[in-house]
Amino acid sequence: MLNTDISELDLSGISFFEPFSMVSLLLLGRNYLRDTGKRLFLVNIPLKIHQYLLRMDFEKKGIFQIEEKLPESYYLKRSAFSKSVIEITDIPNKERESVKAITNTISLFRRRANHILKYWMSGGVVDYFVTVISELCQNVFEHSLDSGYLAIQTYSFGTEHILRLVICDSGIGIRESFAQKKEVRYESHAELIEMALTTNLSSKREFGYGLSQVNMIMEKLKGSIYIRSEDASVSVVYKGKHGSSRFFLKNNLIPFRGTQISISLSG
Amino acid sequence: MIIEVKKIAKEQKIKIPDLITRPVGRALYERVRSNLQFLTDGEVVLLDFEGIMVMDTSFIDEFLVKIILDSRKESPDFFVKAINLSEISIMNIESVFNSYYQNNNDVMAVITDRLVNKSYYVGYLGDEDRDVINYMNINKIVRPEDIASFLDLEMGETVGILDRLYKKRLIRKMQESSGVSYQFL
Repeated sequence: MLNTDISELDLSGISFFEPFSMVSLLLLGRNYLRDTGKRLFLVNIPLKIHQYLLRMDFEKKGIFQIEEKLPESYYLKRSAFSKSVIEITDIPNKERESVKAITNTISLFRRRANHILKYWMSGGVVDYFVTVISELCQNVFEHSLDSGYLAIQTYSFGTEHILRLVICDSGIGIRESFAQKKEVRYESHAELIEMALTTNLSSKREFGYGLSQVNMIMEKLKGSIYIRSEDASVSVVYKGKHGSSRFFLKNNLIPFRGTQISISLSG
Repeated sequence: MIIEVKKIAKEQKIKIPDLITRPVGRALYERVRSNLQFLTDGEVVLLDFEGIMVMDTSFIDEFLVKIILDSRKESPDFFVKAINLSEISIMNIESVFNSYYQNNNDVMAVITDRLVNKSYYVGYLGDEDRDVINYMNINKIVRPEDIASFLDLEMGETVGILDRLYKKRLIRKMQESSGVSYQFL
């Protein structure tokens, strides 16, 4: 949790941002704004980071106070060549608005899928991702009791191409959403997250599909999943011909409100 | 009755090609249900998903599962066949039906027009049930003695399998003067 005595964040030491860090920073700022009624200042933003944040509509969210303004000539172009992203998108916590937001996001994703998925284009991969986006976004409005954000980007790191889809909220978190389900037993918070990912547990209904369906699809696509909720996280990496998997569970992390999910493909 | 899902989705101002979320599933189910009241007993409802790329699990739970459960009610007594399903929709349907089975101990399946896991249905049926579906896909109308001979089973056991598939609305049952026969959808 951020110390509320802090009033600014100095980004001068940052040389690279990827979507998960960016959306997590946005949530951190939003939590601060909700707790204090004040917007945090972002200062000493390196040019490339500032350009990236503008390109991803980070500033448009109005969460942070950014006094250094970039001249428009420095803005990254929004041409067909830079359509390997879905800019930060709000996922509202009301059903009707949320359905509209999810539908629009998926529609935009389909239009940009050739760019976003160009290194992974094979039969059905776009449809698989449509399912993943839909399932994860619905979890935000159905289970977190909060609104959230989505962002997608394909980028290169060295010789590796990485696709990252992030969906994050600062709601009640996975453990709290299961608080009424006394029959669900688990040893640790991370174990509960793993159960939600690998079985058809639901916090709201008799049974559910969302996370387990996402897990099944990522196993098929040999991707990876990272879920952090409050003070625990689970990472799962699928690779190899037969989709052999490795789960990494962590407990007692520094608490961070809500649930943050990152889905990745690399190649 | 043929229900072109794409057409009714457009009527409901639902963006296609993807059918996602519970509210969309509920809206489309209510729209289809208003048509189902005009069915006659024994009719086959052909749900045509042509032009639909993705149905997510929430939509399936609110739409397809409810229609299948309605088909099992006594009146009107109807059958559901889902055609032109995409690969991802089949995968999502399988997950929903699997969860339904695990939680309700009730097998759910739907007949389809394409080969899925070596048969013509989506869902989880036993080996003998699958063999009967495959046999009936070729022979269309069968008598219990045909199946008993094909599977090398006792008549009582064969009738049990056929009645089970009928109760799941996966095959039709016809009472004729010469006896009972079963028809593929």
